[in-house]
Amino acid sequence: MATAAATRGSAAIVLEGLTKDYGAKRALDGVDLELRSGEIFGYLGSNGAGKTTTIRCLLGLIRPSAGRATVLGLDCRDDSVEVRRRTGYLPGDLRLYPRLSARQLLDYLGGLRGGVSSRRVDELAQRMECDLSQRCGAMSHGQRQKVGVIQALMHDPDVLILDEPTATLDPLMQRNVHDLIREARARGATIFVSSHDLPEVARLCDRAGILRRGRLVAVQDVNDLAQRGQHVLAIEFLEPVDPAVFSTLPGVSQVTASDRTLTITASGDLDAVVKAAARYRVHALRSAEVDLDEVFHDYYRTESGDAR
Amino acid sequence: MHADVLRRELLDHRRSLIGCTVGGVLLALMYVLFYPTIRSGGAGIEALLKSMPKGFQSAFIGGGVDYLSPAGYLGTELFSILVPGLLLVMGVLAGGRALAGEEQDGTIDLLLSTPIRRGRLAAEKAGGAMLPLYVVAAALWALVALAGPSQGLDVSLGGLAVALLAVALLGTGFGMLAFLISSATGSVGLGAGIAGALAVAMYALNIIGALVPALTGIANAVSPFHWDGGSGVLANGVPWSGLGLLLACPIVLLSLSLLAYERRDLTT
Repeated sequence: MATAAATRGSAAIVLEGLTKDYGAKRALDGVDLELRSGEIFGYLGSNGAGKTTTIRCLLGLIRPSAGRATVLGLDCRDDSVEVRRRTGYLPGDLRLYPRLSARQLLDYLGGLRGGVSSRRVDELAQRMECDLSQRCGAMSHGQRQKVGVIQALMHDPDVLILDEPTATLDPLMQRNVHDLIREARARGATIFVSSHDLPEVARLCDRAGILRRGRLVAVQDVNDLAQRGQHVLAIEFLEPVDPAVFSTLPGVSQVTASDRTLTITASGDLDAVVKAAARYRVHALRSAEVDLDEVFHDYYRTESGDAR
Repeated sequence: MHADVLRRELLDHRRSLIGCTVGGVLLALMYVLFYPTIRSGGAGIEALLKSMPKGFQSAFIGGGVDYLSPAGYLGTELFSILVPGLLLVMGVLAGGRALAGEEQDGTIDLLLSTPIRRGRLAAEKAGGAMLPLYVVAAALWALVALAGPSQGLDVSLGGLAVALLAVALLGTGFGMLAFLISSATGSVGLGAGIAGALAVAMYALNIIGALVPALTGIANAVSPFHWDGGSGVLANGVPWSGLGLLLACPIVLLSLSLLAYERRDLTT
């Protein structure tokens, strides 16, 4: 806690033991997290893990049952108005006013923010290829999402809270959104992105936290998170090899044999495995791609294993 | 921030406001235009009314009021059911929908991601939902002021204004009850349903109070439909105590709404 206090000055978002109960159900369970100013943070978790609950606490839409959340040093409950003034938010389940055109909607929301630059709105609309004269009710999911992105960014907020920002966008638009997010970061903004899309988080974020059943089970640099992953090596030998040679090596968790092929699952360095394999004649060696997805599920497996 | 939410609320429901205003004015115009015919058939109607029970007369026309006088006629035709009914329905529907509707439609997230205080949001929503009642009341006043004299309906325009104000406050009271329940629970239907049901019950209680002497005292004290002067309002005026109660109810209910809304968890 001492280090948390020391770095609070430069922390943009701080969650301290954030807990939220809905009746008997605990949606968030003592989440501690600190976002550095100017980072893009991925908040990972499956549906119902508590991502949206966290975000609603940050925006003051719900009150924590215990603990607290601050944004830019402002308490999310007591200084909610000021927090929201400096924050841009894209809801996960975005709903617009069907009878308003995108322009009218943005004018309305901009007016509630005390006015925003129409040049900025036009620029964002152009970047997002969004026709602002269209009625929101006549828009497709993807088009509505574009309007959502524009309204979150139009006042150049210091903090961006994006709940599944690109879920309904095509890959090209995803890239546009990622560019806009990176530009916001370049301006000094801090970005909190919730997602269940690991590849997206891997591409976009500096750090990521994994939320599971309301608990934050890991927070790591995205690169480290990838390294923590398991390697799956399939080695096809030209001679019969005893699987026991590999299963006793450090880091190896599983060896399966079929014919002359051994499939070895290992974590950490592969040095020992490769050196052991080098003593035999190798026909082929395939390595399965290490991605966040496996890391993610690995976390989930171990956690649920612990729980039971 | 210049009452943006209030303006939006009015703009979004301008069509229903225009509809209610035109409809109300046309119905009232019809009654205004009927007056010469009714008055010329005077003796027969008078005799018919005299033959009815006394309670019936005081329930629907107003105690001691001459139905054929301009104040008696307009009071009965406009203030026994037409105007209170119209403004009540408007108030209850708008009150139930104003804030909880945003929640039900999921648009509240966007709205409350802007730096607006919840109290201010609720107050502007309530204002935007209730203002149309006063627009309709003003239009009805203008109609009677303009068309009444040519049909022999000379009534005190000041008295008419107070009577319409009292009825608009009655609608606001039930509207704000709907607003309170809906904004505290997030359910449009719950607020509008309970407030509407209570309004019907109170209307019935007012009639029962007039017909059953034993219940008159309690009914008059409890039912807001008595506070506004009822159908005798143009002849007898609005009692000050009634006007005070009608004014106090929306204020109390709005305050409770603000308190309740400020503390609520807005979940999806």
